[in-house]
Amino acid sequence: MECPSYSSVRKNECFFDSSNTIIWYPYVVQLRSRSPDVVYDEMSFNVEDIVFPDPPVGLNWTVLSMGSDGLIYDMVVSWDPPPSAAENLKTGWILLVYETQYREKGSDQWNSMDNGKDTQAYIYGLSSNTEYEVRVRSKMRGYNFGVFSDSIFILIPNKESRIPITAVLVFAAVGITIVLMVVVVSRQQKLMVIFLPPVPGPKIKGIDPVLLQKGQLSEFTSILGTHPGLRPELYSSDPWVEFIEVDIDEPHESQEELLIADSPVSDSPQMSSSFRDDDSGRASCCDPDLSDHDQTDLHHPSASSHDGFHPLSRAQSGPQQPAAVCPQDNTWSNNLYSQVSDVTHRGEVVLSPEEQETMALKDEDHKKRKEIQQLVVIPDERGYTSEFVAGAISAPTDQLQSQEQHGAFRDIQNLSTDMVTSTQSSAFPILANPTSPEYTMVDSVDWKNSLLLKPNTPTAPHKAAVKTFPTPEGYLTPDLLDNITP
Amino acid sequence: MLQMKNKCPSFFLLALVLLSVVLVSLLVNQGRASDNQRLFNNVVVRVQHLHQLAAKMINDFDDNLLPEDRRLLSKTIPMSFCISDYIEAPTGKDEAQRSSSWELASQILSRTVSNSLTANQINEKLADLKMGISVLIKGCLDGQPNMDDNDSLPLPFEDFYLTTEDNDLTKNFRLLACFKKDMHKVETYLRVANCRRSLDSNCTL
Repeated sequence: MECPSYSSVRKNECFFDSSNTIIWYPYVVQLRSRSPDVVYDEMSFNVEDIVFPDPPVGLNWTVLSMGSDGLIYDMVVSWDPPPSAAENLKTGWILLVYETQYREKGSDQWNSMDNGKDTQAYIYGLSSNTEYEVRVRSKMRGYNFGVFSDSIFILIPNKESRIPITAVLVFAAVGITIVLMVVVVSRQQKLMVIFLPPVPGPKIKGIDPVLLQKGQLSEFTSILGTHPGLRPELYSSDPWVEFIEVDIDEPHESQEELLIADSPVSDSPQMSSSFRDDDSGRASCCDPDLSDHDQTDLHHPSASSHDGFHPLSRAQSGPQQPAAVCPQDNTWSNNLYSQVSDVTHRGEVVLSPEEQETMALKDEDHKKRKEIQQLVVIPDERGYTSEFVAGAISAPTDQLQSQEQHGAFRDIQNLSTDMVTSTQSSAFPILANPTSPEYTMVDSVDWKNSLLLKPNTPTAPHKAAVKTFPTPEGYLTPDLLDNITP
Repeated sequence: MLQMKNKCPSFFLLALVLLSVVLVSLLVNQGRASDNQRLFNNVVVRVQHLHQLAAKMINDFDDNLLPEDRRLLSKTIPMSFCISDYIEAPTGKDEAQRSSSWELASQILSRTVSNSLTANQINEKLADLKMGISVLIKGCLDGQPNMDDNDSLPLPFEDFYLTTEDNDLTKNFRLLACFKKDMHKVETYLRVANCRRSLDSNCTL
């Protein structure tokens, strides 16, 4: 039969539908010419081979189960059969089977699942926070697939797992902060020291102000008792060496002459070996004892210039006669140095009196000062003023032992040594204990060839000390020799 | 009450016995019905499987077909002029629902196909199917006058199937196509019948 209806919209198109055909019946379509019945083309078909069902409708999804961490979940997708086939399905005339496809958004590949007759599909192992696209199509078994349904998009956010992680992180941070705070508070002192180390204050290397206050002056004497040039270990190349560099340039030469390095002087070799700086860091900016230390330090150089060097020697002499000297030592230590108050036109150094001296001391000092003034006048040559000095010193008739004085003066070569001895004994009668010997051993020679004497020895070796004077020019007068022998 | 009980115990007994007999008969009928239903379901499933098998066979045939042969097949021969087209059978869904001659048609179809196909496995299956359908027909449709012996029915175009040659591409293709179509038909008929029999509103066998 001829085509029931030709399409008006498109060209060369014939339309027919189920009203014109029967299923399972073979049909032939021919393209003929109108008049001569020439068949140009033909093709045959069966209805069931060329039809396909409508897509399913009503897709929706439900979460079946979710993992404990909320990352993976299972889902079931359900749909309705195409509405045009609903009735036939009910009677059993047709049977539709379905195929489900899903993919991650952005991926090109679909995952297919054959569901059979069921109108729902189970999809397992989907990830949260990922959007998925799902679509379904139907077909008659053994025949053509229908068109795909509209896709649905599924996205399940991963809310649950985020909250615990955040809380855990917050708690951990807070806990760590608290622990750090506790550590910092408990170790505050130590941390302060680590982060803000104390700035070391000025101090003389080797001199511990605490020891000084206690009266332990052995090291003190050793350091200050030597000539500054002979203290190599102190004068290191390190610019941060912690000691006061005594500026003694001006009275230096006169001081040299005055190097009355008497008995207790000269400990440089000894000192070099035994030198050690015990005061590391103690005299810091925060040290309350610093002021006292400075005062004593200040007094030291002046005193050294005043009495011609090595007041430490007196300190050394002090401890060697402990019984008598100790009480005096304390006062004397404080008054180890006296301040230079004035310099005369002749180059003499006038010292100011010590405030802590007792009256007796003051009186003696006055006397001694006179002597000293006289003694200070020392020309560059040596050994000339011995007689003068001897005479000057022998004038006072106080507790000073004339014997000792004379004995001291026998050291002609190093007049300064003698003078130191005598001056020392005359200027500081406190220390010049009657029992203390005035003779000493020459320890070393300083840069000006003046002798540096060892500290005072007890009376017994006192003779020996006298005898061991290595001075070539030293001679003893017979009368003095008698005096020497006890 | 007491008097009634005393007077007519036999009546009660009788009533009970009758009731039990009725119940038993009903149950038996139900059982038979369920047996029938089960058989029907089984038959439908088997037919579905056969249909799927037929579809797969023809798909494999088509895949292995050379392009020029395919053109030849589609052009020269009407796709499937099967013997079943000549058997009187309901062709529309309405007819299928109303008519009860579908079982007979199914039986004939299965018979014809089983005689023609050479594959032994398919023949076995088809023989089983044929037997099942006949049982169904006997069990459900009592008093059908058309139920004759299986072999006595004359089949037109019988030689259509019998002259099958393995080398003839056209014949093989036609055979396979008919097989698939016939199976689809049988499956449809049986399914409709089953859905009609089962009282479920939503027949999704």
